[in-house]
Amino acid sequence: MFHRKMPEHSPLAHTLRSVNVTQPYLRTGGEPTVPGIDECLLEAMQLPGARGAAVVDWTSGLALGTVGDSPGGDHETTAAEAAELARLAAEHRAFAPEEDTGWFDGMCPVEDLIIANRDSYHLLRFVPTTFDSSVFLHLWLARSEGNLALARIRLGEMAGRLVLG
Amino acid sequence: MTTVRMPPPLPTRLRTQIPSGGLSPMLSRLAAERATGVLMREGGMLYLSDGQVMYAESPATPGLDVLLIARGALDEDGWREAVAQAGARRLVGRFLVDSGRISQGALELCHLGALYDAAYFVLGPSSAPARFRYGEPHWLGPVRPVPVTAVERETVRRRELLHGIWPDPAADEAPLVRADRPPGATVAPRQEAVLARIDGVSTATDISRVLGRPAFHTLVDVRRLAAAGFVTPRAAEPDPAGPAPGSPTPVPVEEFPLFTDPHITLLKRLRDALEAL
Repeated sequence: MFHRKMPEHSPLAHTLRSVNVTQPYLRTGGEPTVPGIDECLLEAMQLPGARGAAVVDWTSGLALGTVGDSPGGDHETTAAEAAELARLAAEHRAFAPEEDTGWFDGMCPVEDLIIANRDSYHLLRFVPTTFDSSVFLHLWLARSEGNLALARIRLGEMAGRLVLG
Repeated sequence: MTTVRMPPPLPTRLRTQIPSGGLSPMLSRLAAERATGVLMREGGMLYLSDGQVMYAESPATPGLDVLLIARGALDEDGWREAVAQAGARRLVGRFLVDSGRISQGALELCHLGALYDAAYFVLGPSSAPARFRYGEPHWLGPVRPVPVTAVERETVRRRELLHGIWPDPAADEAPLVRADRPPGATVAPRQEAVLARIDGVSTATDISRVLGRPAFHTLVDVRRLAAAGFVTPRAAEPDPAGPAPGSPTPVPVEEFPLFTDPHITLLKRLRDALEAL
């Protein structure tokens, strides 16, 4: 599924990236990469405390791409379980905004889901697309090192860039 | 007060067993020999390159072009130009991205969705023989190739997923009829879009094409709607002219009554589960 090596980056990179958040993902050498699924996941793994990430289709529970570790060691099981949660959140009226409760221009009424447990955070970010889809980004963060607020902002930007380029 | 029907959990692949020899013994053999070409089965075509699945097409589901054009991710002229410019070189996907018509990420997401979706129908049960033509890579070109085993596992998992929602596959191919809306029941927005297009004539495939949505996604919603009592497959109508002279007497088809009593639904599920053993 995912074979590429993680790119090396200096500890400074996090600081720089958190300041200049709109800068596109750069390969070593400065050439912008084509932001496909793998590049998006690699970028997510550069967030402090990132343990694993995946792009998942919540209708079928299929992982379209995975990187890093997964709780329990199996990305496919994690994807299926996260997909159930994402679907419940996306479909139920209780979690939709007061106005514009439905799907609008490929936008799910819910933006993201946050789960915190004793040792980690899970962040599920719905990906808005210009075609019909039911896709979200799933980021697994170590609680001790992770910065939930930063991860939430960055994951939202990555979800946008994944589709808009 | 109607309570929300909790759908069964999505099956995971660890529990998913592929029958020995794979879903298609021919496909496993082609993967092992790293073949390039197109596998033609009753349900559609699977394009291989170096033993990996590059793309899949099935008449049962909209192709990548329909998915991209239906909601305006791409305009029809843009698609036609890409096929004209890069079709012969078999690099249409690359051309779409390089010419700025679509982002690499969007193409990969849509392509993977279309690939697994069509593969589900291509690898469906079939009694017709499969054929393989060597040496014809798909004109879309490489976007995100997938191993044959991953496609087979996912196809089996999807069958289990549908079976777990509602075990009766009758609604998958038949024209769909709206049943009386169960009082107080609510429908999720994406299912509402499917429900709104049920007109007694359209099948799940037709609705997918109109919505620009992978057909498997529509099947998930159709089976959910069937389980909740919103939708039934239209029963095959007897020919008004009667059987043609000389044709064998039609065997009466088992009529499924409308299930409104949850106990009957449960019993039917139980019966289907026992039959499936």
